[in-house]
Amino acid sequence: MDGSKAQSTTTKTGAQWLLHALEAEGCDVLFGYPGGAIMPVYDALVDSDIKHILVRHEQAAALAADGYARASGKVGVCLATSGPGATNLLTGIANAYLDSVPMVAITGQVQTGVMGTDAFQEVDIFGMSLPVVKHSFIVRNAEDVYATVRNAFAIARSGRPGPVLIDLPKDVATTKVAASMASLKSFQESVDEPEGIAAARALIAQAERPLLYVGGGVNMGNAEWALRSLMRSTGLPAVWTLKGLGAVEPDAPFNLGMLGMHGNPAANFAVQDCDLLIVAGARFDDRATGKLSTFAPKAKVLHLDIDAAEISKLRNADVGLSGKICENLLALAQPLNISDWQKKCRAMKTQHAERYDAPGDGVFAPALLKQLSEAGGNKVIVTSDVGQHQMWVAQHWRVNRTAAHLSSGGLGTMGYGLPAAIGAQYAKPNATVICVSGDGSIMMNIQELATLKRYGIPVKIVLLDNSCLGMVRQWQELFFAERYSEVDLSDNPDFAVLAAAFGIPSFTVERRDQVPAAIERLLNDEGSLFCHVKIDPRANVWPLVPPGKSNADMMGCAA
Amino acid sequence: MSRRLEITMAANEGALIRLLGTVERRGYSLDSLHVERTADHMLVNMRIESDRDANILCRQLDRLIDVQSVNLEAQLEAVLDAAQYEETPRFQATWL
Repeated sequence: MDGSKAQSTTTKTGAQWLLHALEAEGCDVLFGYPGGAIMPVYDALVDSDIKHILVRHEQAAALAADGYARASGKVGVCLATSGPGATNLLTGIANAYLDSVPMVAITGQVQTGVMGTDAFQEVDIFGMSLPVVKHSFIVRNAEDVYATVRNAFAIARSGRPGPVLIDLPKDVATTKVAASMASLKSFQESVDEPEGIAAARALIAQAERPLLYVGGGVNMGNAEWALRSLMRSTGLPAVWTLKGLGAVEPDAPFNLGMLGMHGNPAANFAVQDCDLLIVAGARFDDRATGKLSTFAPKAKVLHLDIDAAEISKLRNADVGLSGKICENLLALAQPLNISDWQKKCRAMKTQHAERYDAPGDGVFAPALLKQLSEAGGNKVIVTSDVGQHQMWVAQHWRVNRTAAHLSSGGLGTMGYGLPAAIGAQYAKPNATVICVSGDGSIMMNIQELATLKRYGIPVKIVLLDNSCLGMVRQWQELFFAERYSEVDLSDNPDFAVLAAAFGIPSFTVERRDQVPAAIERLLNDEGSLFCHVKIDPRANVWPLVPPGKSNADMMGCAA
Repeated sequence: MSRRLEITMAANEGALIRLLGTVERRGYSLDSLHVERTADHMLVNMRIESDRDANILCRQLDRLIDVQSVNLEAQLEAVLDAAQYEETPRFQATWL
């Protein structure tokens, strides 16, 4: 952190100090929505160089900040007023918490003198957000605004990243002070003892069937290159989680694919068979492990995670390393003699390769996603919403870096895709940002089409429309005796007309032979574009590990 | 199993409720609690009960920004303490 003794004699309001601190942090864009208690900050924004993006619902502000953070690796910032503005941010804050995304959320609050009196638009957002923030502050003195904001950024990005809330009462925002910068904190990352590294290396040396289980922590620790270097030098096979997608090179010979509920059978079988699981920035989430007691039953566990609280939380680790994952991955490199295991993994990978030869002339979503990602290559960032289409993206989208695939993993927030795409586009202005959504999810934040139009944001939307809540329908079909309950969306609006009403060019794709032209438009049109794709309502996501079952019990896959 | 924890933390706004919220949300119940506040610190002494490993809770508390140290009483002592503890009923049902 910078000078702990830095002083300023300039007098500014709390709101001005807030923006000054944001500028000092290199924040170039805010996603927000004004209202009563936050008005002093909006007043100060008039004189600031920071770009403010007016969303149309505060939830989208938080999700856009999340998308910005994931795509840029920087801290995303969102802003809302007190009361309903603040509560509307909560889903986005929780989303960032469960996926460890660095975010600072700033909320207006009623004046300190009336806090606790049920004043107009007063809610205790500090209390409401406690379970879903890494840390939070109520700033009660204008003198503390600057240091609080700087500390919030430091907390958000240190160690395991996460969201930090700053609640700013209106009178604090309007009070003029010469701020003190005296209490800036620094955070030290933990360093592993050499004995831990030696023990980890020994586990790998002894293993006959070692396997990497790669999660989002690899990307957040800037360790993709270290992981790839380790894989190249050792030939270790790897499986990955939804948030780990992109960390492993798609064409790496021992990339076995995603594990878990909708994972590749090769990945799930490899986990069941391995004798050492090297967990790199992953946390044994139930969607990845299936029935935990049957997960990797023959394996010892080497767990690498910057958050020591994750190690042995759900599965006991034989060795745990909570230092920097990048350095630790590099330290594991050693010659290995695992050719029999590699041969077996390669055979499983070949046996369970995805197939795209679906019969009929309707659009086959997995093939569309694969073709679009291959045609777009490295210039594309994809965001997805939540549901069947999200799993198809995870299974079939070809992506070569984690920051090019943004998805709500932990919270599973329908409505994530479009705001996240807006955030990603501001993070990477030259990228082609594509939001893959479903007809359920898109309606959760459809109002953000107005934000695309207002700012000319060239996000492309691919709406996979099966006229139902597909993932829920699939579960009702398989696990609730086909008793379909509240999943029918066959009275959806005409999405192409809806997009056009927002001023977004749109078109509809109904047949497979229309897909190549659609891909061409999506990758070459300059501005925003809404591609409405009608797909078979009966299509399911395969394979599927039924809830509560072992990952070895996959439906829709030959063993 | 009942375990005793000693926590030192900064006496910041919301620190105690954040600490107690973490204990309950993570699946541990609170059997006893003693808080002592100094000028800028809080010393928290608590007894928790859970089937879950208390070491995991310690690490979850330790990562809270306000928390400076977490000490888990040695298991054997906790068992002995628990025995003594049970000799003294917490609630005297005098109204019966």
